[in-house]
Amino acid sequence: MSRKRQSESVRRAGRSLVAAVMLFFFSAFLLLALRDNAWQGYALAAAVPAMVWLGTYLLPRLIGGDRLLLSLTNFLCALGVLVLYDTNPAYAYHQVIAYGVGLAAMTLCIRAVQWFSSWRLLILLMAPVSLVLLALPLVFGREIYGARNWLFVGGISVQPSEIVKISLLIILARAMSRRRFWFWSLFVVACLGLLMLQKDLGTALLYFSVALLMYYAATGSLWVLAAGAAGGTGAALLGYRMFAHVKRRVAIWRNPWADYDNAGYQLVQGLMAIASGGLWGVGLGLGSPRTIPVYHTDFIFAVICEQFGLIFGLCVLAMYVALAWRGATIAMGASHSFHGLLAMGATLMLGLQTFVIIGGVLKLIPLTGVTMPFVSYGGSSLVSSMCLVGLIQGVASRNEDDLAEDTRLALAQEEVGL
Amino acid sequence: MSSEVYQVLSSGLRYWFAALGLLIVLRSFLWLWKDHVDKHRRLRRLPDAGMIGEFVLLSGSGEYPPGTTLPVPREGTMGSVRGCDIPVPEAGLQRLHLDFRWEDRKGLLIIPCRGRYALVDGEEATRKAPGLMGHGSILQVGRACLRLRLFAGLETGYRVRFQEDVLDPATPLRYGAAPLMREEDAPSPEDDPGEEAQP
Repeated sequence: MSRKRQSESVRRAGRSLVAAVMLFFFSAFLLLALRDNAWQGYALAAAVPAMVWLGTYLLPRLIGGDRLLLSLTNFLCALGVLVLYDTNPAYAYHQVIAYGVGLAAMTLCIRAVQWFSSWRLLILLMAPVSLVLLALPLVFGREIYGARNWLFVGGISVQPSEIVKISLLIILARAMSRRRFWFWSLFVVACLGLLMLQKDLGTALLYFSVALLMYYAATGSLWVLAAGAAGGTGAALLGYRMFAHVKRRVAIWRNPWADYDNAGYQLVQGLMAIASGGLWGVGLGLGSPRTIPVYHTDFIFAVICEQFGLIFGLCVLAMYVALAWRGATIAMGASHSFHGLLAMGATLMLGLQTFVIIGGVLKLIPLTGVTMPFVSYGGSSLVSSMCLVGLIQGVASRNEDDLAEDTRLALAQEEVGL
Repeated sequence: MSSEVYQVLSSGLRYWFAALGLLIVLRSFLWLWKDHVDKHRRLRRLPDAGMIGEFVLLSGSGEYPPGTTLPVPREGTMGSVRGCDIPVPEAGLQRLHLDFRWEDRKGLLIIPCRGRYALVDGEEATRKAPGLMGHGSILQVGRACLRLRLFAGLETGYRVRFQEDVLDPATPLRYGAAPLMREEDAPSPEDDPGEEAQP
């Protein structure tokens, strides 16, 4: 629908963008295939550009949505697969499977936003299920890197807080569009309490910030925003006093070199990798990314900067900015407050998560255990990020329908001579 | 491929990848910008985009003269402050008086905020039983009386219940001040000749 209405210049800009993305991944995977002389590399050199093309052109034809958003999402996902294939091919294969699942989940989210006119029953189901899901790791979970937020089911590890992200956004968007703030704010408080018990403070910070900013978007009340920010600061100070690992992370952030071969090792290695990459990088497949602990999740941005350079790192940041800009434009173009808040919440979630992790890697803020959306290794993270994009895409598709309806009404007005 | 050759090739291709990265970013922002211009042009041709009709003020607002039209979006709020989607500066209206939303094939749902009072075609609308408006329906909030005029082409499954009550701007209003009464409940002029209905 949107395709027909887009002007030729917009289409031309889109075609050249997709061509550049395809060329990038073809040359990058071909280079790695030549290094290893492995068939998997050649297969990826053919498959990834093909998937980018199909994902950008075929998917919007079948299910609607926004092409630019899809192009950027596909680029970032494929970049994650590329970096993982270079550093640890086994992770890359898992990531490709998660990408396939993510595409299916994204399609489901687009369809849900397109089809559902009332979310009331779904929300009444979602809220208790979300709380149970968040409580499960406290009973059956395992503690990894100081946080007890993982579940292991049949050899597959799942992070419930990633799934709850989606339901939190839908619940908040619905509550705020219906102006039922207080009852559902209890739901947010319950989620935050469970996350604090899991010691998953990075996700708690994300949930809280997104809820607060969505409240501001719904009401425009600066007082509540200021009060919430003050409350958040108070809670952060309390967390600092209560949790030893928070104190340790703040100390590392302030001076990672004080204990560079122990507690500050991760951050120091990340900073050294970024510095050694320089402006242009050391080259794909070169350097020593494996010396950075958790190079495949939290510190994947440092690996990108080392191999492709700071200029490319800034390009990746600019792509997140473009993605957030597009999401905000879609949210502001929505004619229903529920859809507007949903798209804005999803955009805020992705934008804040990117800021929190890249800020942590660059030593702008203390490091928290969140992943870089679309790029970091992790099935739950990739699938939930693609679901967030699916929600934004669904709203974009609804906006197109509303614009078509407005055009129809304008024509009807003209017919009756108004 | 030997590691030496690979190093030379990979080092050379760094610039290629950086250039492609820059190209992708530039093209993304160009796409964003062109799409923005394109959408702006389309919306300029649709001045009523996002609207479903308008409320015509029949009487009651001190600031607006009768006959003033207030565009009605698909969804929003009505109250006495400018921050509302439909601001009606009138003493009897609260800052945020009611929510409304358009439901396809039904009509415009009027949902008063807690403790607020609104009449739709003479019937009280509540949060539990929202009022439903169609083309020509009359909404009374505070002392303001507004008639809904829907755009042509909108489908409503709603028929205006009090067709005989649909007021003409020239007709003096029978509904004076809140709390408002339906016609049959209102005192007749014979009962109280001193109380003429006020426009």
